[in-house]
Amino acid sequence: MEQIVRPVFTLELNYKIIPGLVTIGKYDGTHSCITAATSTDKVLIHSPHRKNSAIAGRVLWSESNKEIATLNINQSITCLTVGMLLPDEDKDILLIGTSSHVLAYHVHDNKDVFYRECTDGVKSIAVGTFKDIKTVIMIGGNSSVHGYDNQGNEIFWTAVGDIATSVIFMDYNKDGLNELVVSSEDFSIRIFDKTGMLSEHIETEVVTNLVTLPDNRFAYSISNGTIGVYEQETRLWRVKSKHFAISIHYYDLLGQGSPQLLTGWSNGKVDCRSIKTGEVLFKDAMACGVSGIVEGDYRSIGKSDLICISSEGEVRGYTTTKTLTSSDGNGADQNTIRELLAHKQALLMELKHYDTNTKYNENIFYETESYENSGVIPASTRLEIAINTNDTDPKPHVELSLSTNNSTIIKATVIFAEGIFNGETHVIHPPISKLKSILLVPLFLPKDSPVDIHVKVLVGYPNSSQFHVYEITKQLPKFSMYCLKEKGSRKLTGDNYVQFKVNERLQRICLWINQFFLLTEDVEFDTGTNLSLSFKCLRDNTDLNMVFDMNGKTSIYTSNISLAADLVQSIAAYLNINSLESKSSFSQEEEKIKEHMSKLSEIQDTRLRLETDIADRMSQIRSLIIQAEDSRINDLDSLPYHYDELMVINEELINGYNIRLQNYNEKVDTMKNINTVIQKASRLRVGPKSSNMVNFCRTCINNNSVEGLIKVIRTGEM
Amino acid sequence: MDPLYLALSLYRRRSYDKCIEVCTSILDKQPLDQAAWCLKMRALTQRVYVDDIESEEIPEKDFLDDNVLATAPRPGTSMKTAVVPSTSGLSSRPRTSTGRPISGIARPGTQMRPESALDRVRTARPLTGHSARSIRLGTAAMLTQKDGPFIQISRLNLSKYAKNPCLSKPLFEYLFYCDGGVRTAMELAVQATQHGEFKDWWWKVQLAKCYIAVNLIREAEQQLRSAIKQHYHVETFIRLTRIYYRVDQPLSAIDICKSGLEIFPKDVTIMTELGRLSEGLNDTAMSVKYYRNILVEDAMNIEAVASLGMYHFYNNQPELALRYYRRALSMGAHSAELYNNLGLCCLFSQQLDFTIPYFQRALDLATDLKVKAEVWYNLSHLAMAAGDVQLAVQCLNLCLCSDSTHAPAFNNLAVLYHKMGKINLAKAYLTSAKTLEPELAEVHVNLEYLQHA
Repeated sequence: MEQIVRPVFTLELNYKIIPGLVTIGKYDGTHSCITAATSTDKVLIHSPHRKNSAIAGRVLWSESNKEIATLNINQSITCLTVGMLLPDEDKDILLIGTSSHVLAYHVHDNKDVFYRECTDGVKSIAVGTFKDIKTVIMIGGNSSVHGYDNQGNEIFWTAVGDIATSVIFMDYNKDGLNELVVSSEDFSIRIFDKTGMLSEHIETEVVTNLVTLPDNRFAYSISNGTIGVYEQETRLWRVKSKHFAISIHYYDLLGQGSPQLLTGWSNGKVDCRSIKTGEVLFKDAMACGVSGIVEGDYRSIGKSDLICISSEGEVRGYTTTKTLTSSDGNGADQNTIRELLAHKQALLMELKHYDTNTKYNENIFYETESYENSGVIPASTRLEIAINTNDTDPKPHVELSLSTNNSTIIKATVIFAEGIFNGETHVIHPPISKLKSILLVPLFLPKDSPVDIHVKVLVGYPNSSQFHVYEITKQLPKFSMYCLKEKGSRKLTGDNYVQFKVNERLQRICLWINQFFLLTEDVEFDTGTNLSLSFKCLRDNTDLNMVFDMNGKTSIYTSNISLAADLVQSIAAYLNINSLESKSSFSQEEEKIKEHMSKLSEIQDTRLRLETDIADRMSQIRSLIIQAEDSRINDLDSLPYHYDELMVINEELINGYNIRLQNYNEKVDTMKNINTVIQKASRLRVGPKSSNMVNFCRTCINNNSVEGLIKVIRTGEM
Repeated sequence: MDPLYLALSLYRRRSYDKCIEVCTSILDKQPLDQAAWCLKMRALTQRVYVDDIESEEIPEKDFLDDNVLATAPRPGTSMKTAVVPSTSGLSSRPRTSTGRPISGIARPGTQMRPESALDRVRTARPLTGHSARSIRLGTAAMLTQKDGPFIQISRLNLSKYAKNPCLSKPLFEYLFYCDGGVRTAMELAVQATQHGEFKDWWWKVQLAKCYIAVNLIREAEQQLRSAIKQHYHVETFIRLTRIYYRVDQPLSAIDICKSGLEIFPKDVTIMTELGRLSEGLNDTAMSVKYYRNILVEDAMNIEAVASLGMYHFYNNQPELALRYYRRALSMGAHSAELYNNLGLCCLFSQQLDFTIPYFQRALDLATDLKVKAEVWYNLSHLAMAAGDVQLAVQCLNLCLCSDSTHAPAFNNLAVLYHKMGKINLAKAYLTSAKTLEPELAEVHVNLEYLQHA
């Protein structure tokens, strides 16, 4: 039932548009203008409504198209957004992010609202309301998220582990106020409110884009070509494609009364899906990759159209198709009937299989051999699945063992799990000589997160041509990659630790341990002053010791700060603790911070010098060009000399640029390292304590105080 | 008398050359006398000091930079696309070829020769506002140093001086104004601000000056903004205005000026800036309002007097204009442009007896060929008013002798020849006028008329 939707208008911008950097704004308060970044570091503003009668002076209208105006940015543009920043104006302000600065520009009045440096870079911008703050500009940088007010003053700051690829505002927990949703390059989507992180979703690859949808949902896209929709904690659906989703938008294209999800792909495909199920309802293709999908009233008819812009500057506008609304009810009925028929067919097939199977099993005493030939296995065949840790292997791992309870063998197994393998599926297909009734699958979990593994096992006889498929789903606990060591063998303390107090019975702690660790038998607490456990990490053989005292004092000894943070968060979540303060000491991380802070100030110094260097060379170039041109008229002999010099300076400039680039990259790395440590340290605390700590850290960094920073990380207090 | 006291006294009396001599003799005896060293620096700086706000030439378009953000801003929001007033006689007011109205007073930015950047490459004219001045400052300073430079810049231990608040500021000014070494000056400023823990607004302004000199406009903006937060100073406001002027955001510049006026009510400098900006945007009413306010505060302000005179002239009140220009004359202003304007005023207010002498004066004073051309062009109007076509043709020819690119003169010549019946000649003149200045509306109308005739 695919409906053909034809574009209502098409036009060519004749500029190459950078994918993803497309937006639309009403700069005069009424007329929409497509705004996009071109490949030559310019921002293009297409204003078809603009009447050009009043051309005065030497307006630099584009030669080819008088509806297009450009803005010179002179730095590579990283993101582009519009928003109504000024409280008493209905005009959109254009926000342009470059690698080091953000510019809020009032297009209508041709003036800056503010222009400020973002040392952490600008990777994504969102404008909106955040909790009780009316208008806030959230800027996602290389390792942190900054919030600014409409004058460019910082009002919010938080650290995220990696480059913040996308920032959106949405009401995540249905409390009527917007939360901040940030996706970052460490594969995660984090939800923040003003006090701290509310929740986190881990994806399988870098999350590239987030889009707010109506009804408290949001859509996301991943760099491996997946798109999906979340409603609170639950993922409604996701699909994977071999192309990448560039832009996602929602719009009621098919006139269903509720919007559909539109996705623009890197190969130029545009598809329209149902938000609830992900079913494709409409498809179209543009000549080349899609750069952006926006929505705006582009025909001055009082109703907004859907506008797709391709990377070559082709613009297509679509609008709601009205014909579909009437046939909607009818279509739904037919759909249901078709679905039910298909279901009936499947059930009939299944019944038939069972029939034949019982027939064979009745004849079991006469023809044992026939199993193999006819692709049938004994009815009593059971597949057993067990998950254990294996630390005796040279490469310790989590072991998934599959076995059958009779002579049938496991031909192959297909394991489907997110984030464990390259791609999402792992197939094990032992050679014929090694076919056995038991199969051991080593699993290496890169991250501490609960994983659902879906296993499909092909069971049969070595010579069978048909196999039975067993499907099993099993959940791996969060901390699977840690195995329990023999009790009392080592000392249970160390230099690196986090300590906090929980007022909870040790029995409940035991419950937590049994649920979150992969243990052969459950841990139980009988008597004594404390419960101490010693684990070994299967990834790097480091120790993890946990001591729970009767009086609630808890100590976790590990050299891995992120593991400690994960444990603290997990305990707090399990025991419903809203606020938790802890003391910690991680000498390695502290050393790292010290090193990076001193490096950072060095880098800042060099950066300033390099910048003046470049500017100085530029003025040299200017005077040299004048001299060279002068000598062309007056003194031809010295002309080559000037041009030689010019060339030398040019080379120097290129070298200088490379140095600057390196310097910049180093700075970004250093900042990222510092912010990562802060982020991890903040997760050693829970609730308001955690957000307080982050704010203290920010103050310390602004004051360039290394001691203060380390103290904050240790104690959570300033 | 104590030589240092003498030097100080000479410095105060602005006898900088003598002061330098005395300082040099002190330094010969005591090479490490910091007071004398400092004073000599100050004297050297004062000798070549220029008011770099008023003499600033804002390059209309620097051929290596794109500081201007918007290439096609909405009319009324940029100096390039100012709305042309459709009412009143002001719309027909002559402009320089860069599109600005001629007020008869030189201001920052109006000294620029009206050629395109490419033309300037072909001649020896400076391409950028900065390089010309820096070269000039550098050479002026060299003259004073007969036996080697006073300070060996390369041997200067900048970090040492940056920590000394008494010496760092004079040294900076010396480096910036006298030595022309913006680079070194900037390094000193950077270190001094760091030493002062970013608390001294003065250094921030100086740093901004350096950044402007090397064309780092946005960095300069940041420094100035943070300086304003610490301390209100008219200079800071004006410099910030200039930055916005430079990135072609006149509305931002006006905002800055207005916030400045709230802190310094009725400040003449800021109001002048506002007057200029409004005039640039063709907002004559506002501009006149500010110039009138300036005259209330400072009745001697020649710029305001001249601008008001121009306003009245183009508002068809030549008698009033004449009064303003006479006032300017009585205050000592003495230039070809002023006499030219006076002549025109007399012509239009029918005081014909004065007209010719004023133009005579203007011609005597006009050294610049462009100005001379304008005077001859205006004289042709006088001849036309007197009905002497031959004289008018002669005046226009003389105008073209001085400036062969004067398109309106070609146009007027064509009209005169047409009157004399030499239609082909008229066509030829019109065509050359059209090639010189394609935007000139009269030429097109005349050409069309000739085609149909």
